[in-house]
Amino acid sequence: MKIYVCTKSVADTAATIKLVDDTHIQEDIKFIMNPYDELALEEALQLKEKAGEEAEVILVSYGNNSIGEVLLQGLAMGADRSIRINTTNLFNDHITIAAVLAAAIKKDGEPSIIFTGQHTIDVEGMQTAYRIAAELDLPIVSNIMKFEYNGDKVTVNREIEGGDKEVYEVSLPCVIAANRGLNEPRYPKLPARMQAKKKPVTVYEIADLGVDESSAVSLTKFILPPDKPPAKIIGGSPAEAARELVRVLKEEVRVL
Amino acid sequence: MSKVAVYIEMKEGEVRKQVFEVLTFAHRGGSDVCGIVLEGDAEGCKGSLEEYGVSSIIQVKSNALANYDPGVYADAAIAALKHSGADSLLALTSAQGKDLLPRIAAKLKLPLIMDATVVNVAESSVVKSHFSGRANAEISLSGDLKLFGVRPNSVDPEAKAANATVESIDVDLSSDRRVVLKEVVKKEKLGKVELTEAKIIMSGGRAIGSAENFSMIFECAKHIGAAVGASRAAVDSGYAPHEMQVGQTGKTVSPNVYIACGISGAVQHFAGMKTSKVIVAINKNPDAPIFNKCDYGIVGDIFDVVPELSKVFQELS
Repeated sequence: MKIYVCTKSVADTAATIKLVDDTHIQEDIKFIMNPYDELALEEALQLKEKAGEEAEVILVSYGNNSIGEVLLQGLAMGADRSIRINTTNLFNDHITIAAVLAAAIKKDGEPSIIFTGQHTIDVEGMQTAYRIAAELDLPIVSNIMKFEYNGDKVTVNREIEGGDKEVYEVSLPCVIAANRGLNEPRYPKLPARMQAKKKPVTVYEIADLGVDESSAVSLTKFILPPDKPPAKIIGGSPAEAARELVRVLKEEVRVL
Repeated sequence: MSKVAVYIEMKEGEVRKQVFEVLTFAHRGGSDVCGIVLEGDAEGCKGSLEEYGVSSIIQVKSNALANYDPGVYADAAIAALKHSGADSLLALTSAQGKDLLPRIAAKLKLPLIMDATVVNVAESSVVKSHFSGRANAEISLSGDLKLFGVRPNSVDPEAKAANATVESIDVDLSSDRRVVLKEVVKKEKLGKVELTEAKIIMSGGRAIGSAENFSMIFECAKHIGAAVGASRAAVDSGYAPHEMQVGQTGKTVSPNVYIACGISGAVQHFAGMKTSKVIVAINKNPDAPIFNKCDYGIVGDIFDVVPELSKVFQELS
């Protein structure tokens, strides 16, 4: 059983984004595994533990130099090996990203399940999982908060609105996109990090995969939001402050 | 003239309010706007769509559309889209839009931008958040057919009178048996207002101290029809369920007013609500980072201030 986990390295949530030029950010910041992909990996590892020895968890990532560190973290968490595809462009078209990931998986083996995060926190594209599924003609369910493996199919809960859930039964092979609430990702222990360095890494260049790069979507420019002026602090007793706040919201900024 | 298709999402038998925001982006460039209706009755919603520039409506008729089935809905939308001859499709980045648009895009290998805060249909360009709101990106799309998801509350709806024709098309639809919806589990609603749709949101943080204390926030919110959210700290402490979480790994909201109660203001929380028009913070710690990010602040204990706020809101309503 081959369980693939597609992961992306993304700018750390706390990193300050600075621009080199209109379409490039400074890349000397900390990169982390996309938090939703961590959930995907954790679920894959739990599935492997359940499915037994013959199951294999394989990380797949398409990204810049920073993916080395992210893949190492994933291997330390317990993935068996990794596949990396190099690019220097942090802002590829999603059509290309999905085609590359799908082609790498196809070249590597027959997936039973492909896990990934429901979206990445850098470009917030919200579509790669669907496109990977379409490339490989697999069923997909996204926004998954609960996952149960029952042999040839899986039962998943997907969050819709207002806390309502849809329960799906999906036959294998399939693509599952993880949402928060699915699990609590484990922290790799230090010895595991040392062992992770010895795990196999396959490197593909995009030319090896026969993927035509799409340019249907292109980044024109980044605009950094202006700094907010300092907050106006409303003083007085709690009762006075509450009354003044409502007056300001109602009469001055007219949002009530 | 170019034609723009808009997916008309319904809620409880009526056009979902935020669809009028999507229609605003659709009709702004002067294009013909075609509404695609998959559920409910096109004649019934014709009037309201005409007020927002819709000049044609295509309704897909099929028994297969009676209940939501992701593959079937995507196929039905594709059939209507092709029938319309439109060169763009816009829809709301709602729970349904988040499932529908990527399915259409993936199936037809079309360019798609989700969660855009500005859509310029004439120029095929959008503005959307990157890095959880730490940057905005201007993006352009090319091709014969482009898809756009619009973030709720991104624009004030602008009316534009039109007369709409209604056309029904029959489409053969069959569901993908590899994915079967077994049931929909309805959750007992915590509040009446959906977080991502709300014009006013009150959120509680770690300082709330217990799940029971959240009732103070609900009580206050009730008087002004506000939705109630929570910070990750409050969710992780078990004071609120995950679906109430606002922030990087929770919901992204952009109400007119966001009132953060006892929330210190982590970057990750800010990421989920920074596009709110006005941010108010109530916190007893004057050095809380939230005071660097809000428009108005009250330095005080939430257990003193929120009940007072509740009284003033009650007078308003």
